[in-house]
Amino acid sequence: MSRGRLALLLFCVFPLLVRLSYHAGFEPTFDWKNDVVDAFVAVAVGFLSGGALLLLCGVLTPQMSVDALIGVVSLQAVPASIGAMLAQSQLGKSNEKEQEEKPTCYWDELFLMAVGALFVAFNVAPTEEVLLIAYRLSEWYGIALLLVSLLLMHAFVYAVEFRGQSDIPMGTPQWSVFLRFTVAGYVVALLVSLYVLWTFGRTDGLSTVEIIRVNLVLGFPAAIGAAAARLIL
Amino acid sequence: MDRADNAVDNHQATPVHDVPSAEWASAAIGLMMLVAAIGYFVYVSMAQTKSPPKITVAVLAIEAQEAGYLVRTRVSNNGTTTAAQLSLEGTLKTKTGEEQRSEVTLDYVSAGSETSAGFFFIADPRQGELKIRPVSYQDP
Repeated sequence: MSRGRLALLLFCVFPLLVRLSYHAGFEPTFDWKNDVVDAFVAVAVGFLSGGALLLLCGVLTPQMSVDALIGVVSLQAVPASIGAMLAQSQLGKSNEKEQEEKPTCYWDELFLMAVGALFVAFNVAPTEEVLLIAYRLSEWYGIALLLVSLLLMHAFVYAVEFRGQSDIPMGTPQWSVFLRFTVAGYVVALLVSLYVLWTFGRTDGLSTVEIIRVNLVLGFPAAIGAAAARLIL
Repeated sequence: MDRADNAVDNHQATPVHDVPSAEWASAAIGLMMLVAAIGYFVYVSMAQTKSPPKITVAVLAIEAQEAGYLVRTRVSNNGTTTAAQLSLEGTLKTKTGEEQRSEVTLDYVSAGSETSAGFFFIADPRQGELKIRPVSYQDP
């Protein structure tokens, strides 16, 4: 993986963690300084736990160059630090008083979708199956995949309502919700998966049509991740 | 459940025209991008005649190394089908009549795309006759 792309990825993930800290972080903080500190903590946890696990699995060996060592651990630290940040929101639910309803505006919703898409896309993109499925995908199956992704995302929107955490006011017509949340959210998921594909070098040398194909294939799990993120976060 | 009650209390029915125009803009942009991408995808798929992989190999550079000579090539697939497990064979006929062979197998060269590969030879390819040809492939 190109070192420049990896550096860009690490650079982009940090502000994401800061914003995520506001939403679902270690403390109920509204102070951006606390959010930055929390983000650094998540990065540290990500690097340490990712590095420890890689060591345990025998991926890190003394024969590897320093460049390779740093690259492998940094790459693993990306999903690990996001996971560290999210762990509090999932496993720390015992502190009821800390779980205030943070106001989420429309752009926050899209942001959370992007985080969910990034998390899933990051874990799926390096696999070979993404390319294999994309190469075997015919046009009509590609369209069908897109429609199913949209449908599932839209269904998730209403699952959010059942949980009582809806941010969509009652009485909003279906098409308004569909366009503003589902379509916009799906495009966010597609853009995030395109970025992740580019970072992993999966788009290098491909023609435009092939890029769209691979993007659609990765966009399906990314869309599920995006929709689930709204439900969970 | 307390949280459900809070959620219901905080949200009144918002008429459609109260939605900020920025949200509509983002929805519109999203819709346009989707329609454009899908439209292009379908158009290209319909307009393309299905053809098997058409492989061309172009030599980029030849450089001398400790273990021999490296011939770097660019492999392009101009067809509309992806070639999987594409194996290429390079044959070098030296001035003394000796023949050297080198081969490589590429995982994927997708339709309309290119990738690069390298062949190592012991004799200098610049002094002999170098031919690189595709040998076989598999449908993905």
